[in-house]
Amino acid sequence: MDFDILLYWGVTWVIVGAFVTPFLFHQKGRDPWNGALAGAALGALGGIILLAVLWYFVPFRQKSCPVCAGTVRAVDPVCQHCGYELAPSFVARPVSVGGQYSREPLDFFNANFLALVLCTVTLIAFLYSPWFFDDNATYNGGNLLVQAVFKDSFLADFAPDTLLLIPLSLLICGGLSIWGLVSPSRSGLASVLTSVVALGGLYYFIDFFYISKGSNYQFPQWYDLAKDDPGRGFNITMVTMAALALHSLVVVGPALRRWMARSQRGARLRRNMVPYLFLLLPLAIYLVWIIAPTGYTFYLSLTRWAGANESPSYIGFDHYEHLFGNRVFREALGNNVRWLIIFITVPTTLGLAMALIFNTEIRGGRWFKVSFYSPLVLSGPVIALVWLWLYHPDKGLLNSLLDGLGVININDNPPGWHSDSDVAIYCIIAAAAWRQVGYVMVLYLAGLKNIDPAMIDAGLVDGANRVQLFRHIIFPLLAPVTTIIVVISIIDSLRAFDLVQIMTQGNNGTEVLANLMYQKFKDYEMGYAASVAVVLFSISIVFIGTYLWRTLKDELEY
Amino acid sequence: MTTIAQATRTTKQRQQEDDLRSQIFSIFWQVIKYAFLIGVTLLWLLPLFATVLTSFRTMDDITVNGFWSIPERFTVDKFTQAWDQADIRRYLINSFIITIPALVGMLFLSSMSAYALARYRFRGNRFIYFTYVAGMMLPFQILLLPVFRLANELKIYNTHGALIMIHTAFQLGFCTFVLRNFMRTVPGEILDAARVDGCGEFRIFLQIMLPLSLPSLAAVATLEFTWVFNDYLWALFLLSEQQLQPITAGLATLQGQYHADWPLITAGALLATLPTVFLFIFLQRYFIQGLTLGSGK
Repeated sequence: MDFDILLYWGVTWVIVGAFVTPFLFHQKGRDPWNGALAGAALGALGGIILLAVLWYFVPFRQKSCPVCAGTVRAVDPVCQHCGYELAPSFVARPVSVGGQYSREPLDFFNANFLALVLCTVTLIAFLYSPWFFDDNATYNGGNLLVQAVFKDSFLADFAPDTLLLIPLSLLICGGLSIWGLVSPSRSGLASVLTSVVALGGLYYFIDFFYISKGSNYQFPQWYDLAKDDPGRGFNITMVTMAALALHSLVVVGPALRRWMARSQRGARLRRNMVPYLFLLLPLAIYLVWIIAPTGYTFYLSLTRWAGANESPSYIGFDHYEHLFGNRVFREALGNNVRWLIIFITVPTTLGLAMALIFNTEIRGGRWFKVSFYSPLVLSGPVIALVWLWLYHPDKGLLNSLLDGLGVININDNPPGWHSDSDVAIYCIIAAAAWRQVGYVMVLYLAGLKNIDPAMIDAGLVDGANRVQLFRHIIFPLLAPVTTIIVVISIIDSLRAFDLVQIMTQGNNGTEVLANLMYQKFKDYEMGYAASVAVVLFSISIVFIGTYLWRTLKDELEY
Repeated sequence: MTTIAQATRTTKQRQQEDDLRSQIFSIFWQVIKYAFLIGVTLLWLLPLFATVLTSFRTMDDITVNGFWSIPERFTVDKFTQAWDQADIRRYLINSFIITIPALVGMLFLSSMSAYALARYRFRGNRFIYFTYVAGMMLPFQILLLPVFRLANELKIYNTHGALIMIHTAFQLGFCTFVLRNFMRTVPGEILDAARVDGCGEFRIFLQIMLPLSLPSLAAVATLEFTWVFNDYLWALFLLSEQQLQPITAGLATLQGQYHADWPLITAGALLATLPTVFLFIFLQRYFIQGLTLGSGK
């Protein structure tokens, strides 16, 4: 018995299953379950016959051992008698022993068998389970397949040419896996090829969900309905098809591992590959979500783009020209600069002072420290709300306090704080600084802890007083920390957003770049928003660069 | 003899006087110091104190009697109202749905890349490291619009998935930076010993490196939880549906809905901070450690 005959038999069966049955049952009404039952019965019958044939007629594939002339099985090329290992390239051909083919049960727990099962499941699901619904009936893949060929009814809208890829790739997959099943020495190759072919079938789904959306073709209204609620057959086919495409990993993984363990080049490759394997996923995510978008914003800032449903159209530098003539933009820039100047002076000094105090022995110092840290865990919106309530003109804490002290009269035109455009921005910065002090303090405390006590002692021995000690020893030693704090403060002040958005929405002269960008985003002026973002980025890149340079220097010294 | 005795006595006395004086001085100094510290601390906590106080009162009470009056009665009605009516409960659940997967994702991914960057020599190591460091300092604004577009293209706009993705991705930079610097300090002999015993690289990472870097993982996790939980900007850009908003965006809505009912708003704000505050109370050490590590040294 020749193998090729088996192979052709299998392929023929698959062809019959795939193409003939739906055409047969197409005429007989629209109930897919008739078709499904018939197809399942046919498939089962075919499968049973196929397996029976495979089981009884596949010859034992073996070779005689060159040392002891015993028989060696193809699937395990080690001589059972003398332990001689045949070359891995050992290609089994059926040999006759004593004029008769010996038989060996097939290995049913391999990738090709898995693929064959998946093919069968996919085929049945595709042909006979509901693919789409409408109000009147359900349509299975078989119905649609007929339409993909003839295009003679309204259903043709549902049956793009790509639908043909599914049965076609299934046919080839089935054939390949049978081939792999009957010739174990090629089973790995068969499995990989099966996976590649299955990708072709998956193209239908990719096309269905992503690509066909972009074309100008007007789909019937219920096409979208079907898209939102596809039938069981659609879902099963999609999943099993994907499984089919991935199933060869079962083979490829161990094979690769074996190759690497054996060959020297494999071992070297393996050693070199390890870090890249670790980096593969994180770096891919990082590139797609962080690095690429950063660059893309530059392009977007040169386009007009009116929202997610539109596509950006190139207009050159118009936004930038408009930007620098714009009053609101200049106001935002000015406010950011104010924010920045206040941020690198006030909270930094305060934080340093607190850190110096807390660096000494203080009973219960931990609790004091905690109260300064505590604003750090509050979210922007919470801080904004707390301070809004504080600034409330009629009832807020601040005016009540001032009223109690007799400074102002709360009923007679009290200061408006965040609603007074002269001071509003400073009120918001105060709230932000409230949180920042704790942060600065943490960093300085860590910096102080790192200072070698011997340096301080040396200073004390030389008779330095506290001020001199700070001025000439502590502060210079803290310089690296200070640099970092300044850089972080600057970047934080450039990306300030939460407080402004919630406290004033950028009114009362408190516009900042980040909020301006959000406003433009909400007005569907995406390109303009991008140009604001680019300006913001360009300013902060200077400081990011400083920070990077510092890290780089540390790194080179390391 | 007597002169010597006298002399010793006088020195002793003088010493005692000195001690006394310095003791008095130091007590005086201590008092000043503590008074100052307590004063400043109270001033610092005043906004929070006022918030807590307000949340237990009613607006009528505040309007009639003024802010600094003794409250007529304390009530927790505003908390229950914020929890149920103002949907703080759902917003908090949303926040957790976003934060937990993002946290797990970013820690796993970043520890992998940190391990590769810290323990292997290979081409591009330093370059990749600097890409991460540069990325962690990026202002969000430069990413917002492309990410918005990407989320739309992937059809995950207006889902929690989009937020989980972007938080995971953005925080990779910071986590990798901190973890990598920590992993460099782990002695290589441990890893080599495992390698000699035939342990696979991934198993070394999983069973040796990760347990060894637990302290820094905890620090990063604590800090990142706070950051992701407190994020407001991304939620604004990537979610449009009210039902899906995390607590930060929910609070902003609350302010619009109940703009005159300050006790309710402050109660909502307090409820919103509970998770992070609990975290801070119990994992304070790690939180501070994370901040310090993140600053570069």
